[in-house]
Amino acid sequence: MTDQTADIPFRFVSKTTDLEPGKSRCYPLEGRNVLVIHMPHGGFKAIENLCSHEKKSMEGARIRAGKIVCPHHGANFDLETGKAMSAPAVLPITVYPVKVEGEDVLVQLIEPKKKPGNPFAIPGVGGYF
Amino acid sequence: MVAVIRVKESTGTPAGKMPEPELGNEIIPKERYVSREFMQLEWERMWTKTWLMGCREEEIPDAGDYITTEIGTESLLIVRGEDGVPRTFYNVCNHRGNQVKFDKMGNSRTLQCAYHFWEYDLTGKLVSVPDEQDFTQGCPKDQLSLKPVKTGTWGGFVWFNLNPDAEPLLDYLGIIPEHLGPYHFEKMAMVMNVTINWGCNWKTSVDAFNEVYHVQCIHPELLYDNDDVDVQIDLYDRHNRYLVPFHTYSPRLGEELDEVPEIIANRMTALGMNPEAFRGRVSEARRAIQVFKRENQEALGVDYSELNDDQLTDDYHYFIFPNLTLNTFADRMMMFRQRPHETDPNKMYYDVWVWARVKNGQKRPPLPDHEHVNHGERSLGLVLDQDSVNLPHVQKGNNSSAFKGLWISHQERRIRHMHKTLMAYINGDYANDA
Repeated sequence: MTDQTADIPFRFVSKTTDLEPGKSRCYPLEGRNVLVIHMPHGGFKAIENLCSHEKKSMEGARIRAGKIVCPHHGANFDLETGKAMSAPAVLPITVYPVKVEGEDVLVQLIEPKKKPGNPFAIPGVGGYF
Repeated sequence: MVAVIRVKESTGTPAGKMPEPELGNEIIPKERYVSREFMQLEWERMWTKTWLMGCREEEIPDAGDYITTEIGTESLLIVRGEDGVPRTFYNVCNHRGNQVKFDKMGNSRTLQCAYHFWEYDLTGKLVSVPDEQDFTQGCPKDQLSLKPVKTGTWGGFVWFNLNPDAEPLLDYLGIIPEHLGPYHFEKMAMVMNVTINWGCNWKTSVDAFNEVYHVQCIHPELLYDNDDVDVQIDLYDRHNRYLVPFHTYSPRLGEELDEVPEIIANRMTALGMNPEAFRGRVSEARRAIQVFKRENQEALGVDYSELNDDQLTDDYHYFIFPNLTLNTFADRMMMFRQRPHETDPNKMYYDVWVWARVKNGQKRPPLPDHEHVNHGERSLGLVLDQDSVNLPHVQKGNNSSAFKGLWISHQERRIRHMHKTLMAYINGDYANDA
């Protein structure tokens, strides 16, 4: 975590009692759509509610083995790192740091990951393509 | 609905639609992708009979400059002679079979084997053998010189053909020089040179780039930059192409978009246009970019006069049989060379070269270093990463007893056409070329 990230405050997003284990719900928060996930074996995760494949909502997605499975085309993302674990997604999703204080779920709205402005751009090739 | 306006006539690259050949609807047997026997047939009847791209002329600009390149079990040495002519040889010393050169590229006054210093000149002739008198059988130079390989040049590229009786390169290339000559590849500079070990058959990679059916699935962002529906497909003798409109949007998105998508706006900005000032419909952005490039070609530093308007935006995407894929644009080109593994039909080498047009008054950039990595070790950018993610799984699926072969749609017919050409080689139909 960079110092810059450390300065971002944690914001209240939901109550722990709002969600059964294994369920997720989207909460609008400061212009973001935050998908709060109550993990099947306890604990909470939060992500930007956009699949990196088609930018669709993943609300209601199944959580399997620490991964969220997009309900639209089945892309899997690791909920620790946001890394895409299966096609059709290759880009990561944004995972927001979460804290639970009492019954409050708090998230830190770090900068969401963006798709490249030129999808053909190749790292190391400059602006040639 | 978007209506793509196409040029009807062109003084350079022919733009007209070819009549469709009859290709049938048969399943393409999966054995062609997984069988070692078929792989061997490909080697004997196709790889050793076709013209293959070996290197770029700029990789060997001076006398003594050489590169090594591999195809199947063979290593080839391409070297420029004192007379300026590039020549290809089997990269093997006729003494004990050592490879004459091990490195990817270099410069040598002569071609000297590093084992016992047998020395060949740049024309491949054996010129020096230490302790020559000790070979009681003699060392006949004409028999022991490097074995030459038929070599040709076109478009700034050096090509070779392992068949000593092969037809001339230009005959083999057929329509390609006429079609791609106006792009002046010789004025493009290599800016990336990467080889990736992929876990799939070489044709699995060729196929991946010979259809746009997958765009709606794995490249959803490209629907906001490409029209993946109004794609003109032309199937020639060995080679084929499709013309993909760029800087427009897919009819799959429905009616006219409200605003210029970010990808197109970024492309406009990169050219020096102001996307904010663009007042037309989004479907007119492609045309606006074409007009801008045409009107500003001097400032952009590229002479577009031999290209038609569509070529100023679109991907004129060519497949040169058997293994070259060219995403050709007015200012740049992305080329893929698909090479088979030496022994395993489930593996291949994927060479990615990116070329950029050297603008008027610009110096040619230095050659990029060659990178050779495993799949996943290096990103190739979003689109190519998306393309590659399925391929090892396609190969595994091809090996399944439940899978019989490829069930090809009309929009995927370049794959069928490639197989038609491949099978013509396998069946010996091109034998008379030699």
